[in-house]
Amino acid sequence: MEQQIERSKAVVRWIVATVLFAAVVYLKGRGEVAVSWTVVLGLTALLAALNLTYWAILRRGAPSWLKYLTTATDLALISALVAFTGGSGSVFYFAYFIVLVSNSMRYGMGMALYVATVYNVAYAAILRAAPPAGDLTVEAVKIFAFWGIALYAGYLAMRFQRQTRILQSYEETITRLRHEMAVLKGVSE
Amino acid sequence: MDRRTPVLTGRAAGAAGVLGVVLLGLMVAIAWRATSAVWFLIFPLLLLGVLAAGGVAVLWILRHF
Repeated sequence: MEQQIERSKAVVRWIVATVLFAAVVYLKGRGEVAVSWTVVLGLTALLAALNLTYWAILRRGAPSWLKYLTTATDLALISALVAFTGGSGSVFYFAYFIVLVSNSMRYGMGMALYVATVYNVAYAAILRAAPPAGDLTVEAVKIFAFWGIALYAGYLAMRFQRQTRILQSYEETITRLRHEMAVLKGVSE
Repeated sequence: MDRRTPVLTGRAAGAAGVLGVVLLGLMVAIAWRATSAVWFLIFPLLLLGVLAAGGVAVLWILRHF
């Protein structure tokens, strides 16, 4: 199951990386973001190398630590992109939400809390390295909003997982009853 | 019939509730007055503390324990 989820994440990672790369190239061409080609190509190459490594690991199976590693590297790469494209004012800030929603829905509340914690640390580091103009209250509110969305996404995932389990048990009961009916029919004939 | 040992006493639940309020106040104060983003690094601890304390207090009020 986890192997299938991580494979799906690897495919989505290629798609998101392509879209983000195209967006950076477009905005750089228009002079909207001041980021060097070395950084853009370096981050893209790093992401490609990591994704290929994960794909190679997933051919043999999915170790339990892999989901935490892939999520952490995704957040680290997005943090680097955010830091290089304007820090707190970066247009790529929304990319954090892709990682949050994607992982929370797939793995549940525990992963939602993990993503929010890693994001919190990474974003605080970005703000420390390049402090924004004015006070930090707006940035604190952004962090709280992220936590709020993480908790809500985790809660929804928990409910969804519970309903899936209930549905699974119904299906098992139906299969068992069908089997028992067939046996009873066989005895009566 | 022997009486079951309570999982959590009223005093402990009350203390958890007070702690939750203190942590929430601390979080708001940091968000409002922080001059360095380093303070934001303790948000996960404070937030999870508030959630845990709030959970304990609410479950106690609902007589879950």
